Amino acid sequence: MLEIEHVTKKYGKVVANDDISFKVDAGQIAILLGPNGAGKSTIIKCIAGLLRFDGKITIEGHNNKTLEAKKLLGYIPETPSVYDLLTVEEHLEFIRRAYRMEDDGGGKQLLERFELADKKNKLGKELSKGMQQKLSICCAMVHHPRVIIFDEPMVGLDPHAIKEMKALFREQKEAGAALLISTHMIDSVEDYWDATHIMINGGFAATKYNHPDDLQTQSLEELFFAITEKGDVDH
Amino acid sequence: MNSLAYIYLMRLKNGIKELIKKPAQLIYILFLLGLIIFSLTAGDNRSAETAFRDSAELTAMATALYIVMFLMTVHNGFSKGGAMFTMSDVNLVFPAPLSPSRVLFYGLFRQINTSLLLGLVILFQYGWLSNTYGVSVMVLLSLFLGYVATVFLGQVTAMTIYTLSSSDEGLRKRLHALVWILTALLVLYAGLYVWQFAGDGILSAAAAAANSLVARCFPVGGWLGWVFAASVSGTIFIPGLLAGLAWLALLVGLINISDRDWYEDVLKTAELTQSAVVAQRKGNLEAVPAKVRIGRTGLNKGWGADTFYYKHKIENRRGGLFLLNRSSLIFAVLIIIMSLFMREGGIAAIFAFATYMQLFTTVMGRINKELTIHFIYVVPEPPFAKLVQSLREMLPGALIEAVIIFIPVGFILGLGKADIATCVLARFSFALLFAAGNIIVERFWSGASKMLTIFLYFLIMVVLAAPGLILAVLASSNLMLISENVTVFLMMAIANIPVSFLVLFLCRNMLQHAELNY
Repeated sequence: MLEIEHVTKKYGKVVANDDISFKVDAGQIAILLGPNGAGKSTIIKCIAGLLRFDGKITIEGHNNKTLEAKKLLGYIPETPSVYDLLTVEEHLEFIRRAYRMEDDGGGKQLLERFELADKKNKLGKELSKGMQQKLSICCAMVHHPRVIIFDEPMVGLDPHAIKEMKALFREQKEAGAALLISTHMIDSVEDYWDATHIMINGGFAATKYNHPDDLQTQSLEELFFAITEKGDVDH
Repeated sequence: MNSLAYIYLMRLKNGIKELIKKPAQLIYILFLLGLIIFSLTAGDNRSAETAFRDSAELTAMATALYIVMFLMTVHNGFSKGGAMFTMSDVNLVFPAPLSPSRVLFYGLFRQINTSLLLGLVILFQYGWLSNTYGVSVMVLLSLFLGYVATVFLGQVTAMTIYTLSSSDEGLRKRLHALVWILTALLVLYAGLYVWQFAGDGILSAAAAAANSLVARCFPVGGWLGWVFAASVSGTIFIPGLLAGLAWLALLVGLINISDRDWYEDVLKTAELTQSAVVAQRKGNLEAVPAKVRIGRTGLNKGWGADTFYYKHKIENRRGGLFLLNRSSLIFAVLIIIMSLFMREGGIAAIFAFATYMQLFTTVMGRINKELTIHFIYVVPEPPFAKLVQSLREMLPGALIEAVIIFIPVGFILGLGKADIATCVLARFSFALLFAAGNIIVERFWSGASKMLTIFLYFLIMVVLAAPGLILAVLASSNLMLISENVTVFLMMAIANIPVSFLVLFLCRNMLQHAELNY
């Protein structure tokens, strides 16, 4: 469903992503786990079509910059980006109209789920950072995307929103969506993932699968620290 | 070394090192310095026979500018205080075991740097000041220093007012009322003065009002205007300088003896400054008003790409920008006022000045903000459609701005209807051209630093405007349509409009290839 083939992204001489390849199938959750500066957000932004890169990214077989691919994609950025002068409800109306979608009541449900319904007439600038993040999530979900990419989605969320977020991950997985979640917090990914890619210095240092046949015997946490702390010692 | 001096010097040193590491910024600063030197050397086209305008007009303008700047800065103090400290000062310097008085002086010292930077724009005015009023470099420097001192004292006054009144609503209202009363009295006095002496000509009556003893006794702006007026005649007005110093001492004393914990008072301002800096880094050059009247809710219109246009209409309504934003309006008034003084230069000089100012207002369009948020890139609509719809909101504003500026200017200069109409058209064509220049920069250098972006923007604008200027020069000597003005303006518009559309067409896939400018 989401396929990344040999993606390299450079900022001048700095290589942010170095020949990365992986895929996320329908009904799967893949995690990008890594310390700060590992290149997780860069690959997420490349998938969202926000950065230029070398290589190929496809969404259900469509190049990620085509309109067909964009229709299928939902993107939740690391920093909540909302419009200061639009109300909460208008954000969802804006996305719905821009995506040429009739109102199916999904937006209202999302607002209720993330406890934003009573804030529907508040302006974007009046929201706290956590509420902006919730609104950002609602905006990414309102058009029912089939491939959803989350960049550090839990940062700034309150416990209720984190609970809803995790429930949302599971629901979307069951509904057959492909989810890619970038995070540096191992605790936040729990056990609902199918594959975790540990990123260091712009590349994959290891990949662990969440099924009995996986060759890795270490837990995700053990594997992560074995890789990242080894790097520190070597350094 | 004293820790505050250490921070100050380290910031300065690292700023210089940063310049060396980032040659683009260094080139930009050298370019600016070059421009200042060029305007100081090449701007002087005077000959021995040149007849200058009355220098009373110049001193009047300076006094009026100082008073307006001082009042505007002080007015800010009632809601926000003075922006002397950054968030890093708040987090690192405030909790440190340092005396608040020393921290205050550190803030004041740093504020001088900001005031100096704000005053640089004065140095670029040498060309017309020299040619119109015979201003020497020394007089220009005196005008510059007066401006810097006004902004600095305005900031300190704003901080003092905020510190003294932030916890006392009654005192805040009384102080605010006092500032309004003083301003109203000054305006009333100037109005009556002009009315009484209108027979001598409105312009000379207005200049006399601004040079009167009453205006010059007005706090800070008036005193420094007096000091500048003395410098024009080659003397130093010591009482004005002493009054400024006494004012500063009074304010610092008031803060120190007020026994108020002013750290808390500047915290809010530091946070606002920080968010403004972040917003600017993200391309949002237009401040969002603190109080917004939401009014009718819902887009209710738009489908696909044109949803961006209807969204911009709502944002403009809530931002208080029905057709013109505040900076456009200020520039429009400034240009109309300047046309009173630049009448001898004709419409060409005023149009050139207005176009230069237009560079700054066009760069503030809503599309710049749009390009910093991911929605415009991820919405599944053709990139060209999204681009055109995002630019659409600026068109009516650009036309209205042209009309608002050039109808009054046309009357002041006594231009004919055809001259005014073509002037409006040419102005509108430059709005399109500047928007096109903005698109080119975003298309090819969207990830570059803001400083480099602005530098490139200026360079590209020179290139894009060249065909229109060349055509206008060629046509003015070979073709005559109604008048020379009509020929020149029409030719500029004829070249600018297709150039703008060509740029737009060539950059039609910009949203496909640009990088999100976080």
